[in-house]
Amino acid sequence: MLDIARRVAASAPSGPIRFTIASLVTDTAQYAAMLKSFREHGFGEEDCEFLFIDNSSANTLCAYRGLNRMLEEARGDYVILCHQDILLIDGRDTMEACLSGLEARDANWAVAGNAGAMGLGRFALRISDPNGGNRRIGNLPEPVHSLDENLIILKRAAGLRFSSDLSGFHFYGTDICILADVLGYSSYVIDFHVMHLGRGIINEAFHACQDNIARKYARAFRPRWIQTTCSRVFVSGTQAGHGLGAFWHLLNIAVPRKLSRLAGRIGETLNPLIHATRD
Amino acid sequence: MTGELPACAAAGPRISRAGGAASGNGPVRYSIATLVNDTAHYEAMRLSFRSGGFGRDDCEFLYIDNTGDKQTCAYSGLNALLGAAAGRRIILCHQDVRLLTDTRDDLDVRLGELDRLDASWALAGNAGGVGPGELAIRITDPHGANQNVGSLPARVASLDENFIVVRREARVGFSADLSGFHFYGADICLNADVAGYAAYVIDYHLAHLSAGSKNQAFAEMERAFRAKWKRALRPRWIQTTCSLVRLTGAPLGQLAGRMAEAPYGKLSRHLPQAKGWKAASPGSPAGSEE
Repeated sequence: MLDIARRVAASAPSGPIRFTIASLVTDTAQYAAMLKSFREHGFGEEDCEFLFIDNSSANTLCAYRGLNRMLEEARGDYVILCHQDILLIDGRDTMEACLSGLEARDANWAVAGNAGAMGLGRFALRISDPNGGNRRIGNLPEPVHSLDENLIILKRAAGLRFSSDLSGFHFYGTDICILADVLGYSSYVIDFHVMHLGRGIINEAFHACQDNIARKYARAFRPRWIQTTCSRVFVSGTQAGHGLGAFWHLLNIAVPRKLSRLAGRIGETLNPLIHATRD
Repeated sequence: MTGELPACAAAGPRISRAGGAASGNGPVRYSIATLVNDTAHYEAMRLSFRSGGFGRDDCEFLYIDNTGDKQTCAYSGLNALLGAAAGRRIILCHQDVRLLTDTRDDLDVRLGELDRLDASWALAGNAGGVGPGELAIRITDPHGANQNVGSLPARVASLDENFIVVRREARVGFSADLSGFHFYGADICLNADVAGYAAYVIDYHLAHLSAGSKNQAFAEMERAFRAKWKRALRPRWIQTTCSLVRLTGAPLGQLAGRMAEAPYGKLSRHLPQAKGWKAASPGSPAGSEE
C-alpha cells in the first residue's frame, strides 16, 4: 500500500460520488474486513470511493494530518471517516434515511456520528462494542458537542477540516465538532448502528492530547481586538469581555458616528439658512 | 459574458465559469472567484488578470451572478465558490480590482516567500489590520496611489475583502451563521486562526477602484459579527465519550477549569443522564467498566 491510494473501479463510476469512506490503516486484515462489510451493506464502488492512509509499518501521518489529507482528496457528497475496526450492522439505506432525516431537521448540520456527548454527563450513542451489544442512548438524532472517532460523517460541502495545530490520535472527534460549531454548523449522533471492535486506550498519549487541546483552545478562544481597514472590533467569548468591548465601541465608534451624522444633518439644514441670511 | 458555460453542479448558489474551463492538461494553479453585479466591471477585471499572466492554461475564473434581484451574500457565495474551485490557490476578489504592474509571476514569488516564512499560512491579501490602530497595506485606491504601509509580509488579524488568496490545502471558509457583504475578511481570518492557520498582507500591488462605504448595513453587520464571535469563542465544558475538558480563552477560567476537571468528570459519570454509559477510568481502556 502506498501513502494514499484511491480504489479505482474497473469501469468509471456511473455518476457522482455519494460517499467517500476514509480510514487510517495499521492492520490490513481488519481494514479488509471493514471494506467487505461496507460493500456488503450497500456501499458499492459504483458511487462510493474508499481512501486510506497506510500506517501499517509506521505512523506516516497522525489522525489530524492524515484525515485532512484524505478530506482534500475526497469527492463524495458525504465523507465517512472511520476506524479500520468497525463492521456495519445497519446498511446504506439506514444511513441515507438518517442523513436525509437530519437534513430535514437541521440543514445546518455538518458532522454526524454514532457516539458522542452534549453536556456534563449527557451521552448519545448507537453502538455495539466490547462494553455491550446493541446500545442506544439518547433520543436520536441528538445534537452533540463531541463525537467518538470510530465513525464520523462529514457533509463535504461544509468544507470542514481538523485543526492544523493539533496532532496525535485522540480528541480529533472533539476538535471537528468545535470547529464546526465555531463556523456555525452543528453536530449530531444519528441512529446508525455499527460494531466497533476496539475500546480505545487511555494512556499517556491520551492525556498529552487532552492537555494539547485545552492549550490550543485557550489560545484560539482568547479575547482580541480585530482591527480591520475601516473599523475596530473587540471580540470576546465572556460576558464581561463582550460587555467591555460593547462599551468601548459605544464610546469610541457608535456615539461619534451618530454625532458626526447629526452634525452633518444640522449643517445641511443650517447652510441654506446662513446663505439666505447673507444674501 | 463571453464564453459562458452552464453553471457548475453545486449545492446552493449557481456558480458559473467565465471563459470556459482551464484548457491545460495539468492541475489548475489559480481559481479567481468573484461575486458579480456589474458585468462591465467584471470583464475589465478578468481582462486585467489575463493580461497579468493568469492565462487559460492553468487558471479558471468562477463567478456568481448577482446582477439580478436574487442576491447571494458574500458568506454563502464565497463558501460555494471555495467548494467549486479546483485551483491550488483561490483568489477571492472584487469585480473592481485591476492588476497594475505586479503580475502573476510576482504573486507566485510572494506566495513562495510566504511558504518559506510560515508553512501555516492560509490567507494572503493586500490590506489588513495587524493590531489596534496598526494596518498593513499595499494598494492603490481612492484613498491614495501606491500605498505601502507596514513591513510586508505582515501577519494580520483581518484582511480587506478586495483581494484575498486562500491556500487550498488549508480550506478555511466563512461562517455559516453570518450573512451580508461586510466583515467577511475579518471572519475568514478568525476562522483560520481558530483552525491553527495564519493570515498575511503581502507586497502585491493592485488597484481597487472603490473606497468602500460605511452604511447602516455596515453598522448592523458589525453588531452581528460581534455577537457571532461572542458565541463562537464562549468558554465551554466539552464532555467526550471518555473525558471531560474545560475550554476557555480566559486565563482565570483556564485555571479554575483545570482544578474542576477531575471532580466534575467523576460527577458527570454518576449523573442520572449518564445512565447506560460505561465510562472510562484512567489507565484503563476507554469505555471499559469502572
